[in-house]
Amino acid sequence: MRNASLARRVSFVAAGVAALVAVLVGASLLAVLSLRNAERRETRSKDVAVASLHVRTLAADLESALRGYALSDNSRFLALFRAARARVPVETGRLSKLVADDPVQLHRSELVRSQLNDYVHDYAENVIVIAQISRNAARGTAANDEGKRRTGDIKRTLDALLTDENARAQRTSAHARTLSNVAVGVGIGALAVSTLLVLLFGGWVARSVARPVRRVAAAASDVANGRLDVRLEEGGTAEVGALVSAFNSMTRALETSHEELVRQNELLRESERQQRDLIGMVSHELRTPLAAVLGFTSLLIEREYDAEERHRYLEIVQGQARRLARLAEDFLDVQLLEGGGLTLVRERFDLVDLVREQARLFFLDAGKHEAVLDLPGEPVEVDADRDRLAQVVGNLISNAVKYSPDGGEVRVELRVVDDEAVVAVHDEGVGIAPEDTERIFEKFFRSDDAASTIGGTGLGLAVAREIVRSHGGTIDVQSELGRGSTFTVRLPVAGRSLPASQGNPLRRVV
Amino acid sequence: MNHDAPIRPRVLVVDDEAPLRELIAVTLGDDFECIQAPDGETALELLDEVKPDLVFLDVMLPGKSGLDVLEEMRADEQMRDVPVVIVSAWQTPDDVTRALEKGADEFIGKPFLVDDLASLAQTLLERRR
Repeated sequence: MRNASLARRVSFVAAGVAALVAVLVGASLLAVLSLRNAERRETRSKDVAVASLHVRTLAADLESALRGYALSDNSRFLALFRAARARVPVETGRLSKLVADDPVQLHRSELVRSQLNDYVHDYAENVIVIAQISRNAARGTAANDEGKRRTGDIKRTLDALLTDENARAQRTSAHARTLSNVAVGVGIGALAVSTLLVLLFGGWVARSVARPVRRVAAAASDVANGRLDVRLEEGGTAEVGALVSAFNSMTRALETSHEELVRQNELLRESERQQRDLIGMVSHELRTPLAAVLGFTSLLIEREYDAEERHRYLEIVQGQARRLARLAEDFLDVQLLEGGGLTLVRERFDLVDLVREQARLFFLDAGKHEAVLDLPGEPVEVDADRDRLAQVVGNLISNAVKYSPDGGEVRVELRVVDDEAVVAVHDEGVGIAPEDTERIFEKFFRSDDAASTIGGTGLGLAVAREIVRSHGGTIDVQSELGRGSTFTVRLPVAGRSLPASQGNPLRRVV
Repeated sequence: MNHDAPIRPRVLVVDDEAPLRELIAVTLGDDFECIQAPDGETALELLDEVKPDLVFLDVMLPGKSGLDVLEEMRADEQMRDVPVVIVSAWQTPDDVTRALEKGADEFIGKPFLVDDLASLAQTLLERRR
């Protein structure tokens, strides 16, 4: 019964209460019937008593009329006798009819009738005949006690009948009382038990149905208010248990899909923001050199300048046009990276040369910086794509200058550590927040600070990492926000087992 | 202004890109005395020193941004009335509104027409007189 369904429990209790009510109604019915029976019996007893009284009076009337006639010869008595005699069948008939359902009483009633008839025919009518013949003889006959004896017999029979009738009525009434007492007791018992049953069931319903349902309702309004982490304790009656676990799986599903929605929304917003930033960045990176190109060409067309000035402005136009070309190349490189890798043109060359060359080139821009170049005395040979590595080193040095607007030291080092060429570019610039140190190698990523004050595409480091990786090397950064950054590139040095390359650069496509 | 009255109006050009500074200077020509600053800090120092009659100000500058410089100018008793033209590659309606709210007199997007620049400089200087 612990896990029986609510419907089954309700059915059980309803059936129990119905049975008890049936017992209650049955007992009441039985009591009412028996009481009515007793009442009927009593009424009949009274009727029998009246009827037997009438018969008794009749017998007395017959006897006194007969005696009067015999003693006085007054014909008025004879008339009384005859009137009484005529009532005999009526009165005895009434009595018999009343007791017809009881053989013993009927027998007594019939006995009374025959006793009366015998009295009339065998005695009284003889006395009358005698009286008409001889008054004295009649007196004598009447004087003897035969008439009294006969009426006495009749009275005794009637008494017996009456007594018996009363006794029966009393018995019936006593039985009815007992029965109705029992019925009342049974009724009260059934009422009490069914009331108790209903109360207990009500309590049980309140405890194991209403309370959990209330809890579910409260939790549901929590959910409606946005608290999707509410969970109810599992268990309870079959239906309630099912409701609770359905509720829990609903909130779980809601929470999961809500989290999913929030996550997707976040991603969408992030990608929208990136797209907006990208468009802004691209248009900014294009507009600056375009402004110079368009401006100077307009001036050269519209105004007169001497040869020296013209030459200078054309150089500026050329430089800015180159910058635009580089931008286009950066985008092309990203396209290549996404298309599945770069094609490297490898040759053996001295990395020291390359670093010196790039440092000189980019240190030109570093007016307020203290440029430090720290290179080994002997060559460091690598088998690599020279142009691509120049792109990487140049990017790191120009970044170091660009991201230290207040000047400071820019140090470029090259060392060999355990068969690895290590190029480190150090600056004392704005630095990178710890959470951004991985992301700066993602394409188009620019830290918020950099994006608002320093121009750039966010492509340089992404391309650099891809180039270094495809050479089997690594690139990483150590940085402290506001203190500066050190970018370190590690590349395998050329194996000593490649003597064929001496003086004869090896070119191969990987 | 109790220093030697300049014959030519002084213009301060603030931009981190040297070619653009030079473009503005060349465009304005010999009628103006052009002074250049590559960043916000230098710009503020020069503003104090040379008391220009007009400022062309880029927004995206290393360190202090152009808008920071503008804000400081508008808060300063002496520089409050110096006309400022913002010259920026960032030119969405939001960028323009922000610049004008901070007290810029004009906004020019990059790239710009060289004729516009010179006439704008004249207009602003005349309005100031």
